[in-house]
Amino acid sequence: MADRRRYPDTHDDIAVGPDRESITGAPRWAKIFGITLAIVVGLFVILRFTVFAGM
Amino acid sequence: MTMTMPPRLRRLVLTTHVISSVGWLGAAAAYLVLAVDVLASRDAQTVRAAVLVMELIAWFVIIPMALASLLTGIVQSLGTTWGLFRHYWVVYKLLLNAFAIFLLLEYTTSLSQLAGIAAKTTLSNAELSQLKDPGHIVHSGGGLLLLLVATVLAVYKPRGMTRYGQRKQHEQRAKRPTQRPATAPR
Repeated sequence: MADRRRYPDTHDDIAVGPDRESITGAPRWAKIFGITLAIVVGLFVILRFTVFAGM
Repeated sequence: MTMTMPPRLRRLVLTTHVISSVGWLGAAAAYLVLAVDVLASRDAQTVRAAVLVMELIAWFVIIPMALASLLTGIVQSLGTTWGLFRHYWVVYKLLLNAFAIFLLLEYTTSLSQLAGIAAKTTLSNAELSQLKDPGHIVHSGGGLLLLLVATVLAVYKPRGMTRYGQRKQHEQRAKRPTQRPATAPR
């Protein structure tokens, strides 16, 4: 079966834009990604001002 | 507000964005190799040379590519219906890019100090160990990981609209005429 284009209206090869999405609320991947990113940035800030403060 | 760019301009901006992003990724990979060499090498001359080259790559390849990638990415998203804050993947890419550039600028400033030490003709053992900073690998490895994640997001474009994006979509739907009149004039 042919792979269905993710964003049919977009002419995706040039990233024009998305189709009409009707998803309400953040999808699971976005929540997990956001939490992970927040943890990474938080760890960096903690390390920056504690362990590597003098560097 | 979204202004759709003409197709030619859009392709030009997209091409510039891909070139700068891929260039950034490649330069970061090359940088990581040099960073490993700095830490692994026992030869002072090799360490000095590598640090000097790393500084040049950082200032004249990585930073310009990174800034070009950020700028063209912003233009690209604002110039298409993707928008900058409408889709989670675009927002996350922007955050990753901004975070990476912040770390990059901070790190490169300290790298310039190390390059100043490396430029000396003779080095003490303390100075040599200063050049062998594990931060080289942490920064280049971390940066490379962020860029790989951003690339995956750009290619897969996972679904998911932000609240702002959903509101904008509703507004656009409301503005659009719903039906063509049955007795439209010819």
